[in-house]
Amino acid sequence: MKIDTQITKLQMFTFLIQTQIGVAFLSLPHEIHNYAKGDSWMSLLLTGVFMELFIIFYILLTNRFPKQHLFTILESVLGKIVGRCLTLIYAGYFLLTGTTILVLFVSMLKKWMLIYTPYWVILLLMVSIGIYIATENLQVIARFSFIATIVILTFIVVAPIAFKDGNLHYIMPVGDAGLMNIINGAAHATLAWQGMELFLLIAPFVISTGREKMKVFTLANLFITLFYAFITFTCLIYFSGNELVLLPQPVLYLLKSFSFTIIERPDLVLISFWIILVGTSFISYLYGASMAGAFLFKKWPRRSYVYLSAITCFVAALFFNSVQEITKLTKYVTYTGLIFLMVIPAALLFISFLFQKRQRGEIDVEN
Amino acid sequence: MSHSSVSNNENVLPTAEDDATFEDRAAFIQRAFGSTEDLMKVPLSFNNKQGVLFYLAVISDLEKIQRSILFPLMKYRDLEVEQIPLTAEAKSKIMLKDSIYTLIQGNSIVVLEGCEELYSFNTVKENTRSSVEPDSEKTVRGSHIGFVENLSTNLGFIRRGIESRHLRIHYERIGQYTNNQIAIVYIDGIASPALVRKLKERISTLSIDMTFSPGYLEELLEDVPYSPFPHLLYTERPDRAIAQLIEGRIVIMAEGSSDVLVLPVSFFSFFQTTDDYNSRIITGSFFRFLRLISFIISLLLPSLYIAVIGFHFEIIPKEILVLVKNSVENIPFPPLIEAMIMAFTIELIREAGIRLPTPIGQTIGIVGGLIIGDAIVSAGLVSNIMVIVIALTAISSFTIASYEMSNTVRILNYPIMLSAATFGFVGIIFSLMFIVGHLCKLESLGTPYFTPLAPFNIKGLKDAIIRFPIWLLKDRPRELRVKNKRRLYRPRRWENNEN
Amino acid sequence: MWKTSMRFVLVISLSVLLCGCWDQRLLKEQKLILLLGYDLNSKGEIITSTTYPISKGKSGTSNAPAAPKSTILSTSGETAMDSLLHADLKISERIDISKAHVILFGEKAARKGIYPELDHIYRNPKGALSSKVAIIEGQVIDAVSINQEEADLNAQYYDEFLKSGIATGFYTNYNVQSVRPLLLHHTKDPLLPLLKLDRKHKRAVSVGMALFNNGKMTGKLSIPESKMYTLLSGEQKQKISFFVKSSHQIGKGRKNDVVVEILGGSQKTTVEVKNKSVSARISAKLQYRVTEYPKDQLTDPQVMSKLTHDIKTGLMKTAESMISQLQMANCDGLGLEEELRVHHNKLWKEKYRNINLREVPIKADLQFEFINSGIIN
Repeated sequence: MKIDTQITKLQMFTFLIQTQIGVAFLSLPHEIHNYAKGDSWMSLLLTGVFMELFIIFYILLTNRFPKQHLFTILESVLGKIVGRCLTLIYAGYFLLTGTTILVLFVSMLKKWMLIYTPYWVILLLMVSIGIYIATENLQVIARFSFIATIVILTFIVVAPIAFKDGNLHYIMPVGDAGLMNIINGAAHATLAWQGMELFLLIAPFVISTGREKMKVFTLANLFITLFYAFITFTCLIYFSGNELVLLPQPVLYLLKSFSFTIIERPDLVLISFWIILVGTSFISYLYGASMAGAFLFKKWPRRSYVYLSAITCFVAALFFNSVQEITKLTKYVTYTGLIFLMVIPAALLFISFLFQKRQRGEIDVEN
Repeated sequence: MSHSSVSNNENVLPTAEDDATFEDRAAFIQRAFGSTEDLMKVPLSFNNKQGVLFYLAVISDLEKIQRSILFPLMKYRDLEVEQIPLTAEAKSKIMLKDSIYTLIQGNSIVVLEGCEELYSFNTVKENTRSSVEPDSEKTVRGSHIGFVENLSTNLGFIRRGIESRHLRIHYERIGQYTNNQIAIVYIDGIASPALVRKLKERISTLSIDMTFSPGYLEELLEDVPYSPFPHLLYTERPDRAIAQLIEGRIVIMAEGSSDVLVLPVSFFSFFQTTDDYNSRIITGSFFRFLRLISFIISLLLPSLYIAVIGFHFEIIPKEILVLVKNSVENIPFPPLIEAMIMAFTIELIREAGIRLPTPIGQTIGIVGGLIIGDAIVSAGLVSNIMVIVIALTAISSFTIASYEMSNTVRILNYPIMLSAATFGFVGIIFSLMFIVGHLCKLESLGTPYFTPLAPFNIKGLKDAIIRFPIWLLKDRPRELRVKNKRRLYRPRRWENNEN
Repeated sequence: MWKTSMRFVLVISLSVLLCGCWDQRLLKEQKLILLLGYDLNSKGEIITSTTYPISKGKSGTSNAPAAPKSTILSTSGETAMDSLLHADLKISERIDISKAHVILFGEKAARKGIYPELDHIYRNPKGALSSKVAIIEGQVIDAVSINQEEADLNAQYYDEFLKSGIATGFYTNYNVQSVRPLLLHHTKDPLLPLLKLDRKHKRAVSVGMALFNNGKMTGKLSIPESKMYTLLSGEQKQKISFFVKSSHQIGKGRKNDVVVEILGGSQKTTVEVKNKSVSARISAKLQYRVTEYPKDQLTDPQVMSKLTHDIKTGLMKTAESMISQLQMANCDGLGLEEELRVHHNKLWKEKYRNINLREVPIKADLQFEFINSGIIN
């Protein structure tokens, strides 16, 4: 393994949170509110706890194969043919997620800021920044993610302004929605955690022990859970239930209703910042897809697969852009996401336990 | 002196054999220079031997020739040349094949009958100006010395500043025809040996016909030459160069240039000035921070204005909305054109002022700044707010400590303005993402350029955005992978003693 | 590497150069509607009155900006947006309402509900959510075209007018966004500033607040009642002054009426449930100072106790009349239903959805504490 491509623990942390926080979080309070009403924030905490379980699975898996990334693990556990097939499916999944990110991003941007700008132009902007950064090695991507994290901080700093006009009565009485609805809401929140699976890809490049990875991964999960819960909580106390039903992107609406002396409409600035968060998610998925490509066909360098995946996402996003298709796509991605986020890693772990498979010797991975 | 590059010259030389006769050797020298008329040939006889003294009149110091060749040769007529008491540097024995090259440097050569070797005397004419404070890096406090155009004088400044046996100077010659001498200076035991090796390797593989300034070198050595950001630091200040050496960086100096190159550097090096350390902690930090803010202002202000006026005017506070509206109401151009006109005018004024003699330069500033600015507003071509914006941008770009970085910012303004005029804030953010992505990619001699921000290094931040107290800057920058990481141990030990 | 990035730059710049700026809306090409008024005409159509600044006759070379002037446009249409579309037909540039400072409603329109008129603002990503909302007694067109002398633009005038009203405590501080949950979420009702015009003196006059029930205006509060409302609803706890007429007129000399200013206090709304019937109790502990008492000699304990009593009965009366006004209008400005929903959720679900305030006895309980009498006794 070349030292050049290793990343630090902090970079792993920021990479993970940047991958996970992307398009979904703007509409998260609305989505969960459909199920869990005023108790949506509890649903999110619940999802966080639930995800922690899978983090343990992930860590157990990577500890068994400390020098291997997802695709080589697939190969060692399931054999060459099945492993490679699954890698191909993974590549497809990454492309699908990348496409969904693009589609949702453009549709939101067209709603909120660039109403008349053609669809493909905005798409092109995002794809070009994706290619520009994803062609670089993991280290550069991680550095970029770190800087983008500053954006999340601005969201955290700005959102509490809503507390002043908030009304705690909106979320009371606590537990009104009922346990089933809360769990239902929690189940629908898993899409917001999507991106966690990329940990399996970057795990061998992180300079740390398995225990430290566990710590960092848990911290990242804690951060994300609290961040989502916090944003949702803010929206819940700022908007009444009847309002939230009408607002598909309550986070943006929340920002839109603030007004400062110098910047009268902070939402414009923060929507622009949000683009960076989407960008990092997209870059991460491009990276994942290109890794899969480079692993399957070693003939070309990874860079060329970045171009290929980006163009695939671009073309796919051009086709799926009506409202019905977007809902369909989102639904589809949520369910496939569940498979790739939970089922496959858990199954891998199970099989590797069952057949006592673990990494033998040094297997070098490149990125 | 190094003879390593002599081989470069061999292809143009006629062949010569050391065992040739005295006349042949003299003729060989004469032939090598062909018809040039500044080659002087003085016949002399010494110790009953015939001899010829050669020198190039334009670069030799005639006084020195008198003093260290002709007088001693007269005085010690009956001694061997070796026995004439002169310092090692003033006199040396060379082979015939090296003679041409030695002459070109300004030395004089004596060819003697019956001697196999030739004698070279150091008669190089030293024409250096006295050291003055560099115009581009003025300071309020601290030393006012600047480098000069002479390599050995400049090296002298460094040696005098770092009186340590660990200072290493490595000479190289580059330029097939110009044969300039350059020096790679570093401190053994601090600078990363890997970096030094890498740099030496890069320099030794350069193949170019001429280098007349570090700018040439910079382009040849850089990792990403097309990047708009400078990734080698120029300085004309010995104290700054010394500080960089002690932090573990490497300095390249070239004969004939008063600028030295420092590498590897990070983005934040361009915002540090000597004054930061000479002033008090709080003021120093404030000015450092001010420079970073001014970087952001000059990068974004015009495009923000364009985006606000052209796309998102709901962001303007309602108190000044009507004012802004009235100001742009009768302007015939869209904001992009307006900004381009003004920014371009400022560039013209700057460029015009830079090459002119100082008094005229000032006039240009007044004509450009005051008269054009006022006239363009009253003519209604550009709104007065745009004039404020562009003027503020220009001023902030000039606050950046480095001339190169301030140019970079102003160049980067144009693409950002263009994207702001097309997509509003979205365009600005996308351009910023490209710029930050580029900064994350950039490496200066293999060390990350945007450190300590990316990769993040909390210790490095102590000297990046603000300046921490000197006694807290205990470690050298981590990205330089220095050998001796620790810089200070207990800088304020007296505190323990006094308690 | 360079080739590829060059290609990108090329593609992007080409797309930029070829297609132009789709979303551009230049400030100079917009008519900024700063004041928006909605009213109903006799046919039930919506009349929208707008003012926008115009910069006429720029004073040549002088650099001092000319004082902005505004002009008025009034159009009608089936809905709010429709009438604005009609307005667009009559304006030289595009109209833009994203910077509206104040939105005024005629009383007639307010009685039919104000949410429908605001819908297009909520729906627009550039909608002015922070503009203030006020109700005008009478015709909105008169208010919009008022020829006041205090500010350059009428929009600024109303903006400042409402701002000072909020600071003095006789208006609630609602803007378009913060009033929205109350219009949608029927467990609490908003109260909005109510103005009227004094055409003779070219001024607007505050007359109190408009009461709403389920998004429709149903009643009015007078100024002292409005002040009492802001105090008891916890909107504002300071800087509210009351005039209290004393019942003990001593002699004929100087009047012993008193003006007090509330300096602070605590307020609590409690809903009590007994045998599934609800009663409410609003208790407040208020600290006050005397800002005018021509009789002087406030150090006399006898005078003091009488005065305290007077203040208490006087203000209790105001509070009671405020409550009865609220009840009459069925305006749940105090958020009783919300209290009920939060603390007695089951009962609320069973019985008290859309509570009828007239059936709920509300008691006010005010305690007063004297702090000082200014810098003289």
